[in-house]
Amino acid sequence: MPDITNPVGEGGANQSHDVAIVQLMLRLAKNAKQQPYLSTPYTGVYDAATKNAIITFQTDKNLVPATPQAAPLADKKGYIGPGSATLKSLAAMLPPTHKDVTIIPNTKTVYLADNQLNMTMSQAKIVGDPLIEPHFRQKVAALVQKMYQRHKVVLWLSSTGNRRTFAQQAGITKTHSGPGESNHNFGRAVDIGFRGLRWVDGDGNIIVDDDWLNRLDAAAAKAGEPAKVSAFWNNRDKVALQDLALHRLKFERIHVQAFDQGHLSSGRSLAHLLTAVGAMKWDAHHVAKAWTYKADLGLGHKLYDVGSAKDIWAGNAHVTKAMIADAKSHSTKKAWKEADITAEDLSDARTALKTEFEKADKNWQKWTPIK
Amino acid sequence: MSRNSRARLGPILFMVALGVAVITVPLAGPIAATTERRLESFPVDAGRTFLLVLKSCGRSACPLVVRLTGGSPSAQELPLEWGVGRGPAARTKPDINSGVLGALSADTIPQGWTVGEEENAVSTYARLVRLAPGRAGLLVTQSGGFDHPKRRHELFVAVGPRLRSEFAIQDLQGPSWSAMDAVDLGGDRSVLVHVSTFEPGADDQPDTLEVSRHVWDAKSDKLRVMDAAEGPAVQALTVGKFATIAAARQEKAAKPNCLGAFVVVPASSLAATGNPKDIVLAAASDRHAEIEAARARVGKCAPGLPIAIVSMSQRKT
Repeated sequence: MPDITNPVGEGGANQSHDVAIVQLMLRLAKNAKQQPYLSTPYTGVYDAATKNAIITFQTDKNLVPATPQAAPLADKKGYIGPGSATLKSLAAMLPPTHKDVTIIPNTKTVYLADNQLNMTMSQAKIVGDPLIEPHFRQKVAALVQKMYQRHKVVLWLSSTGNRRTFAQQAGITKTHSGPGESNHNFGRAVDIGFRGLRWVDGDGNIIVDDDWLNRLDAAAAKAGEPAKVSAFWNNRDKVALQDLALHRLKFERIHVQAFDQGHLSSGRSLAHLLTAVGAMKWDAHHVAKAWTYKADLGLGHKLYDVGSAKDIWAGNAHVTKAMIADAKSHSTKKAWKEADITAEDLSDARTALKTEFEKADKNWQKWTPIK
Repeated sequence: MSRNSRARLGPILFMVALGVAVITVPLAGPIAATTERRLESFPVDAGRTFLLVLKSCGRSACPLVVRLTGGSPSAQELPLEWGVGRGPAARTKPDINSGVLGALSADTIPQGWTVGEEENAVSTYARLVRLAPGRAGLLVTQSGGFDHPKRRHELFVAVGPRLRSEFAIQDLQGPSWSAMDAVDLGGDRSVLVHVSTFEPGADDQPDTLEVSRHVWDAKSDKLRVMDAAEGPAVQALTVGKFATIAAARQEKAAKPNCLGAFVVVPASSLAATGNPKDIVLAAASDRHAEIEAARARVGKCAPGLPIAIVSMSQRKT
């Protein structure tokens, strides 16, 4: 049975979550004329209409004795206490579809409690996923469990929110991250959201939402209450960030990762991995919203600008004949001219650079965030 | 003037296209936001000017504001939703993530301002828009983030001496994308075109492609959404004809440089005549020249796939 934490009504604490639950029940309960006791959508804000609806309901159901002194404290006229007869009577009138309504403290959106089976399935999917780094995997699984225990909400990984290979990353156009530059390339980041959350709109309709709560977002924006959406994310983050020391991004709420973004340079972290697992030395610098990479071409001399991760992965690394001649001159102690470098040499160099990226992709577990 | 010419920021284009001058701050290098800096100014008329201002920083954040000067003794000012962190403001060219270029555009104007790196980066692009005779607006697009970039578009309007925020729209959470363009209709009138996509990436769920067009309504003195039959239509370039969403996604993944900007949608969602069973790759633009250029480009990089141009007006998929 849905319950409230503190009294609702005249002189009650009227906390938003309690008011929302009571208002929704009054909205769904019908009087003898089959009209809802509360004629307006539930809002979570106590008002005169709520007070009148409570009194009318109590009167219709004979819940308040004629002499106010005779009424138990929890069932005064216009007042509903936790576990009160009025509350029980309201709960009894809930349609079967709404029996499991619940709400997160200090929020205003009522939803249906999810079940243990779904929580177990979501957790199993995470625990059995070899593409999530083991330590991070445990934390994400714990996030699912704690959200369920605390709020009866089941979080799920989104279909594209797990580890992406470098090739998959290359296929995404609408991002600044090239292959090896996304936090999703190394098993230390996931998109974990509210897919399947069944929230109840102001009139009592059950809305099944997507991973990103975009249906609630649209409804909340229309009502001028965007905080309704952020309330869900903030409560997820209370668990993820405060309890489990995970981290979030500034602009994308569904994203959770193992490391602090403020302590990461994705380009330098990739360069570090490339050097560690490949045959070349690498470095990276950030220019105009993108990373540009430097490599020694495996010849042990200086580092040359070889282009972006997207270019290198596409086989279009910025390699020149002059660059190769210079590197070879130093490695062989013999003077090489541009004319000595063939088109095949250029092609081989580009292939070798891409091979380095492929090695990094295979060795994604060895990646570490570097500032 | 062609309806496809753009009311975009950029000194030369603006002077030629609209007969007004845009003054940009001469740059000697990146600007550090330790003191208030006027990044750009946009003359509305002889007396009034919009300013894009990076205010002096607090402990960690530096507010960006739009200011209207010249209308009254004291300037009017409204903050942008996304402030920026401490750091230099550098001139930046737009890309597909900027929110000012369409999915098919190869343009490099207008330039904007970027503060910060990677996830902390926020780029801000401002464009003067002649909404209606006597009504000028400053369309400000901000994009933020690195891995999952998001965009926000806000229109500020000068109403006599007052500055007001007329309209704002922000990308949804998740794999969303948008661009907002101002199409010059001539006679000091423009249409604002907002194109947005959402790409859930699932094989059992198509992407969405939405277009909305906004025009100044003289009667109510407000921006309003245009009816489907009204004004210039937005076109979509469609590529291929697939039996399933998965097949369309496969084709797109196989040619990322060619088809990466396209979304996977049912043909019927773009045009009433489309077969609901056919899945196509699609991208929209309010500029016909852009559509034609993309058609030629895709014809070369994805030969053999059927290509068509359909008129979208204001449809949601």
